[in-house]
Amino acid sequence: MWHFVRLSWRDLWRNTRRSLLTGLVMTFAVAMMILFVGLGDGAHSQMIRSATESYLGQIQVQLDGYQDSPDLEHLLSSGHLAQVDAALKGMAGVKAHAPRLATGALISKKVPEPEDPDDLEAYRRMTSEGAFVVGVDPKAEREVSTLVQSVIREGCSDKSRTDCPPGRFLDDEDPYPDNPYMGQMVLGVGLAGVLDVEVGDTVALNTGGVEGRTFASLYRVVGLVKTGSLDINRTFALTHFSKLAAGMSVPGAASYVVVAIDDLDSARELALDLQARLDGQSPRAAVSPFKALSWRELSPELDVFVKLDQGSTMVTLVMLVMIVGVILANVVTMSSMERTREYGVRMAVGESPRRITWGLVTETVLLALLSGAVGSVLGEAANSYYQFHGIDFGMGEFEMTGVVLSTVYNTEVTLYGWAFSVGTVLFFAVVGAIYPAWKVSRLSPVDAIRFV
Amino acid sequence: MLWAMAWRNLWRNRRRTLLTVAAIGLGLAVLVTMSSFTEGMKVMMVEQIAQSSLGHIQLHHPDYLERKTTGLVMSSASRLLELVRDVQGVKGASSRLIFSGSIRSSLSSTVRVVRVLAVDPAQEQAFSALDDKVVEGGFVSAPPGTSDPDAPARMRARKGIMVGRKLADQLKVTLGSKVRVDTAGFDGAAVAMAFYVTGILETGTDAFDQGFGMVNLKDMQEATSAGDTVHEISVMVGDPSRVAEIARSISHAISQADGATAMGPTSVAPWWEVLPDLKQMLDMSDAWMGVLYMLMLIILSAGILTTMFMVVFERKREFGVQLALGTGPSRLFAGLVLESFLIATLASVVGLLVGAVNVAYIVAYGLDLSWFMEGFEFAGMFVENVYKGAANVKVFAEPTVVVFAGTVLMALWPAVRVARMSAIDAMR
Repeated sequence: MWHFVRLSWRDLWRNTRRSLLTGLVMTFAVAMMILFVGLGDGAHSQMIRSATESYLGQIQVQLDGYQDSPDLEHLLSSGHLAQVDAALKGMAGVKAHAPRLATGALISKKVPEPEDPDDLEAYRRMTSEGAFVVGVDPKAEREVSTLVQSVIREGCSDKSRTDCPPGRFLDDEDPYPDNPYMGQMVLGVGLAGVLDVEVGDTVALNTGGVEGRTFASLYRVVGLVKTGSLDINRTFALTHFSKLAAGMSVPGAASYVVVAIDDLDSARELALDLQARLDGQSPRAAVSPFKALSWRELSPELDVFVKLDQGSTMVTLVMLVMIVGVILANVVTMSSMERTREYGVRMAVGESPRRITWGLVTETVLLALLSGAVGSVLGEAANSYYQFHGIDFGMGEFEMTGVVLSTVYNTEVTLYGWAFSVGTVLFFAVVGAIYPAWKVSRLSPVDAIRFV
Repeated sequence: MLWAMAWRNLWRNRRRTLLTVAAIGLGLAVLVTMSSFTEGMKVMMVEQIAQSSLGHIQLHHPDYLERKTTGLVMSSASRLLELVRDVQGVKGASSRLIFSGSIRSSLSSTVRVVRVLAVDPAQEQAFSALDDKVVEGGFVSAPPGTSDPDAPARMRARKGIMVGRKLADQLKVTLGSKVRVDTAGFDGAAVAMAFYVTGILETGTDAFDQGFGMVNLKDMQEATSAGDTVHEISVMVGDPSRVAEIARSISHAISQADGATAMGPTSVAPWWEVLPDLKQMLDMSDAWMGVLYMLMLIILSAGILTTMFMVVFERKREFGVQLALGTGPSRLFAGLVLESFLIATLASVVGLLVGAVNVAYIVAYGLDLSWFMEGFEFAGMFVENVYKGAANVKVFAEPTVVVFAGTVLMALWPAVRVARMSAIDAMR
């Protein structure tokens, strides 16, 4: 057996040019496929990463029912929060967590009425806007999302102005702890633009509290956030968690707890794990009041978008495999047919057709393995390079259905990407060798030698 | 003479030529199919988004897109709409008032952010695909009792609203429930308005299911004493490839109309200016496809190069004899290039034929990806399980030119090597 492989190996190098050429195609095919799969996977996890890190989080713990009825009856109490803290403590794979309180509200700029009642332009500058108000704990928030880093240096939305006051994120501690009607606020840059508000201005917030009461309070704008998500930029207003909770008369309560994890792919498993830990804390209750949800359940739309992206990558991958298949099979078939004469001579001196057939297949497999090794090195080298440097399409960042997409593509190095590429090449190389091998096994030596 | 010889040479080894033509041709067919697929995805996205309410072209007050302030309206709305409709190529148009604010109901303690479009139901129904997505009640219909002359005045003054499924669930409202919308009036001050739910919409897209309401334009114009003003006129065109041209015609028609100055300033923007993100997304997908295309081309070229080398060097002996008999190297070179030219032509024909069959199939039936996306039962507006291809000249021409040129170019190298050989070496 070993002897046979060595013979095939030698046969391979009797015609160096031919083998090199065939090997070159195989090498290229392996390298390109590895790079392709790497790019596809890289774009994919980047999409999930940016979508979850900008705000959503990879996992959220809510009260069961909050997802469908995000109302004040489904808030986590401070007792619940302590339980969630305990469950998360020491859990492997969890980076950090932070509570948030969220509500819709109408937000308006606080300005004096225009002196001249006929001054239409002055009226046109005033406006109110629907806003998604989120109470955050600035210290904890820093660890779970990129919201804090998204604060822009300029405190106004008009880029052409040079006299913008500087902006910052909310202070770690609420500066007005005893005044329930005054707080600090950070606005999305688009929302600030619509309201014509800059740092230092005061905005009025109007939303609902318990028992249908309307709750109104004032906030001083301290900074603007600009994320890749238009949705956040246009509708988000951030304030202190404790302040918003007190204002809505639900002190200490939170809408949900955001959990940041290390490995994106394990979001679902970790959510299940966390659910089990939360259930275990209240063994006497028939049903645990908590629900731990991964981003897929939190945003079905994002899930669909990611699947759509996978679908189109899959289609292109199938097309790539087809091209590789056609080309490889052709090259292998041609280079084997070229040797019909040689086979005739070998048969004439007594070698069995069976042995020749197997020799041909063995040679092809050897060549494919060798090319696969070289191609893997090249492909994975390119892959690892782009993993850190990215392929820059030079178009900045943009957003689609809430997903921030960067136009710098990073690749991802995976075992299956490698195995898939080498496997495909091996498969088509063997397919290409089968036809000539079959043909050879049926030839008579005389015909074969005559074969042009 | 050279042509005839090249042609005959090609068929001296039929098997080899056919294999080569088949490989390059099939490679081309795959590129054509892929091209059609990506083009189709682009068309699908633009069309579905256009039909959702965006339209292909939008008219606004010049500052509106940037500021979105309620006060920035266009006056003489009905006259503008008439003008737009008369422009050739315009299929439909819908005028709207847009309010952003918060919404709540007495049935739930939650407050949600909402964007309310005030539309003329008849215009909007003819215009957008949202009409098909109503799952309960009617499309922006009036609450029961409003048309009854015997009903008390407060009943007759009720206004209807159509909301998304998720929003309705979150507010715990059903048909007939009352909701309250807080928003900015035209004078900038906050106003509260009451509506009765008369329709529920389910699209599968959060933008419509969660933070969206649609009300009657007349109701809103009366309630806010807005008169004949709107924020937006959205235009659908018959042929999406003529959007830029039709947008210019609309601008022109408005500026030439009688009393143009009285109508106040209006800006006409094609969808890529209204939603630069969508445009960027499509450009991006183009660039992305460009990269994939490159990867495929590299593999294809390597394959073609190898094939050509083999085709040529298999015949080394033959060339040696030709050289020995006095054929000039340049003639040998020309002959080989002609052969590659013929191979490229044949391969293009094969590729285009097979490609056309593929394209015809994916244009007619599409590629059903539901087998791949398990549990993908999402009847969304922007999401289809079946990806359809598109057919236009670009889809066929681009890959053909690239593959044709690639084949001839890749044959140059081996041809040069042959022309440089000495007769004696070659015959050995």
